[in-house]
Amino acid sequence: MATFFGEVREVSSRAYDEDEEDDDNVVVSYKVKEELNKEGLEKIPNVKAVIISHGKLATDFCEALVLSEKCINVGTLGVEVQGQTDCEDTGDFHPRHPTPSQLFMSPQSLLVCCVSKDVKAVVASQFAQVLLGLLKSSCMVMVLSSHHYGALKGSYEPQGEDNCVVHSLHSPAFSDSPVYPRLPQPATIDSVPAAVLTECVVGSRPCVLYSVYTETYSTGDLDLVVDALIKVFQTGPFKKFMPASLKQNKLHQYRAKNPQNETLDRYM
Amino acid sequence: MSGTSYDRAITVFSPDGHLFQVEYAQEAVKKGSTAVGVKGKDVVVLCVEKKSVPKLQEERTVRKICLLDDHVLMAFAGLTADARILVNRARVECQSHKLTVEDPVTLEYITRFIATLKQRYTQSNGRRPFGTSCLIAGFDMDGSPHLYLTDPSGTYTEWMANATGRSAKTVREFLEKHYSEEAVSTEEGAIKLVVRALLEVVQSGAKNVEVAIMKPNEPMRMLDIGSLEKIVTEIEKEKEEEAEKKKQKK
Repeated sequence: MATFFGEVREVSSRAYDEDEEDDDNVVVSYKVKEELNKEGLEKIPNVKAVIISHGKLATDFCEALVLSEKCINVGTLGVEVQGQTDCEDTGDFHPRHPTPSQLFMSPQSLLVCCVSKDVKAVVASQFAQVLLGLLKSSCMVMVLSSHHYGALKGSYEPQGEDNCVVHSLHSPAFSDSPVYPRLPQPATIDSVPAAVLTECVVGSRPCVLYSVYTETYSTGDLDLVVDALIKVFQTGPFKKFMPASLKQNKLHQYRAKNPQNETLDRYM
Repeated sequence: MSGTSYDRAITVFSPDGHLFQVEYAQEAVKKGSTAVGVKGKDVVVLCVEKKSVPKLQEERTVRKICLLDDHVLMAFAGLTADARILVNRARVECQSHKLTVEDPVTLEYITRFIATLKQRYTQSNGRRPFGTSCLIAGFDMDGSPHLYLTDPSGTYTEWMANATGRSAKTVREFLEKHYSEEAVSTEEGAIKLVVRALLEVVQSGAKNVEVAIMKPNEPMRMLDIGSLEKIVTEIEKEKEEEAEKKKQKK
């Protein structure tokens, strides 16, 4: 670019970053914080089992069918993000606060944690440590996670009347036999389910993970996984935590109460 | 899911032979509400889940079953706007065919037209596939009933009964168990089967379903709410009786 006096001044290009023009590195850090109410502080240490749901359909299943009107909210696990300032960092024109993960307690001393979608892989280990740190070491842990069948990286063949495929992993301390077969290679799990299972293996806690794979990401397809996931409650140590009979109308009620899952008129 | 660069362009195959954009379009179909079709001896029936209309919305703009010609019905699932384009193109083709060859289109012809149009959009740069799956039903000139299903890839197949949209798999399994030629040999039997199939995945109630019926050389008619309520009541009664029998067996 030529100045008024004719000298040529080099103009830096935005196509590459010059070292001396680098901003100070923005360090983004995450902190998982538990916020328990009075019932949570009293009851969580005595919990006998915990169910952790991760993924849309798994969370929908827990909210619609595992939880009942008698369950109480005992607190939340929130993620605080520090160091992230504006949309240039996030690419998000409407930066928002991460949604906390809700903790519920059933009358049968079952703790249910519906992991928020804002709990990303980068904070999963910390999340698992904080959550499991609230519980005694003998507490049984079940993780339910839902995925698209592409994550299976192998053959996807629903058996019998199932509309999905379920696989399991468990920690050595889990003495019962999982209801579904072991997750085959080369499929892997990540994020919160992996972090929880790792913590349980390291801490010698009994833990079983059931990951369900479906052909669709679509919301409102809870009925694809209901039959398959109910089976994990029909035997084994978690049997006593499940209602004796499944009420079909709970599914309809859930859809009616969650209209944000439906995109008005764009899809018919 | 894929996490690769093969899902951004419609014209690129992945190493394992997937066209991810087409598969994503099939995901869009699964976001749409369920549509079921049954072909009877001399009747074709299409039944769709009726979405509740917001208070201020005009109900007539929300239609899942369309007439392509006097003898051709279509129900779709997926992106509404894409379906509208397909319906318009199909209607023009029906009239163009009639003017050119002086005969109405056959079901196979118009289905192939729609499917070819869809396929073209899976092989063109700068375009995306139609996110719609269509159930096309009706009668040819010789009086034979037909039911076809097209999907975003441009495939079309003929069926005796099928479903598309959300929970289609569940409905299809129900149809496989309960479909028989005797069951659909009458108009009432065909209507009952299709309504019962849809009620497997939709909240029970006449206000949640819409039924279109076509017979040879007769215009399409929509089942009125009174008749629908009777059918739904009958179906619920039969379900209760079946449940009671199962309990007694145990």
